[in-house]
Amino acid sequence: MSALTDYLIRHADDNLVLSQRLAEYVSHAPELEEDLAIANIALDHLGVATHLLEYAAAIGDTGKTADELAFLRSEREFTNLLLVEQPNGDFAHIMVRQFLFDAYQRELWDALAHSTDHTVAGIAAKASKEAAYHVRHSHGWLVRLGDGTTESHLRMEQAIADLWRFVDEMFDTDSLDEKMTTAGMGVAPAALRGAWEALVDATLEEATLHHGPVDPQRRGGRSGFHTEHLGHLLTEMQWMQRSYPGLEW
Amino acid sequence: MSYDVPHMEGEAEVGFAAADGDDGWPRWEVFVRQGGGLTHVYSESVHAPDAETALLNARDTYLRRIEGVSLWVTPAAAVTAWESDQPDPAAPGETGGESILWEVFVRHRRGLAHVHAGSLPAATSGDAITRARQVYVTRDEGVSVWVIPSSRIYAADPADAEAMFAPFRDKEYRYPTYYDIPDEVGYM
Repeated sequence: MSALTDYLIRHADDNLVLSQRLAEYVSHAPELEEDLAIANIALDHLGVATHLLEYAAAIGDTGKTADELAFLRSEREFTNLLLVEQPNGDFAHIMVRQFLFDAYQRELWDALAHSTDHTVAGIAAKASKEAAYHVRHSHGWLVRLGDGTTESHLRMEQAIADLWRFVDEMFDTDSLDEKMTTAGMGVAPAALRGAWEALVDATLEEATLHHGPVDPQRRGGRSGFHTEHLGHLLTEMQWMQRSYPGLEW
Repeated sequence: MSYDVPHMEGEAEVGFAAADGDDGWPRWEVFVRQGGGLTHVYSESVHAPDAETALLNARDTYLRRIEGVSLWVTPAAAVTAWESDQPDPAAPGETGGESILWEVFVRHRRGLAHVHAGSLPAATSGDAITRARQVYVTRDEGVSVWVIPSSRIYAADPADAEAMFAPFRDKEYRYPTYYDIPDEVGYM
């Protein structure tokens, strides 16, 4: 497969898997309005994944359609970040996961909007508007719950402690990133970290939250090595196409 | 007259009593100006813990089906209402107090939504209602008037317009017409 195809798929997988996670939560949010917000955000991520997978399918070197890429690849073939596949847990875990990823994606799409590949640049420009809203939404919850009640503060600290071990992986720059960056089509994730940290540190301070160094950091998603949670997620997400191949409705 | 972002103080409003008396989030009234529209039109309400969340909730709840270009929210408790079948509010008099600015919304007929009509200065809500009726409700063309202190209306910042409003435009699936309905289903 071409480097571009692999690159499209890894970013599609981040969005597809997170979309599925958020969709699992729909109808469980504490308020109707928040339920709508989360459903909207899930649809935004699904939309980005769809654009990227359709572009990958159009390039053609996988020989698969966008639907086949989404529903007929196995766990080892998914190259999403470990962070996005982590289970929902409580509302604190959902919002911390979302904020850490939103802040990353905002920088990512802003950078990729300058890609020399016009389709990538177009998708990124659209996604960056959505990411700006996503950050605003999750940032608000971080501050509200972190600097809220004793209970909400403790839950947020716990969520940060649980999820922080997946942070470094977001900024790992592998040979594919280097190849895409050299070609002018991609961006090295390491280059996004400074801006990400500035926003995250300022937000945690405002929210009276803390993170310690978490060691060891977990990584492997980009090479298809996942936590135990992804297999369960895919089982549910892909059940229809696996049970009734080619089914449409 | 058409203008955006009237008197945005930018400060989140938190902690007032829940307007509908339950233990959940307080209620906020939502006003949307559509693309091509001249004024902000009432679009029902949302629940939210503060002004910032009210704006985001209003966006997610009401902008999926209509194309908004500007959004206002205000705590329901900040609205003073007058209906044409109600007695007039106490005549303004002895105000003495300092005037503040009020935004006026008029419902022209039953079944229609309240529409932003303009703004005026007044010292009390009763005074604002009376003046609003004098200025904006001539010839019996209004059946209901709301006045809201301008300082309690929170507007989406135009600098955020791309993130607030643009993402909905290319999502055609938000319209029911996007979906093919099988013939067997008949009329829905």
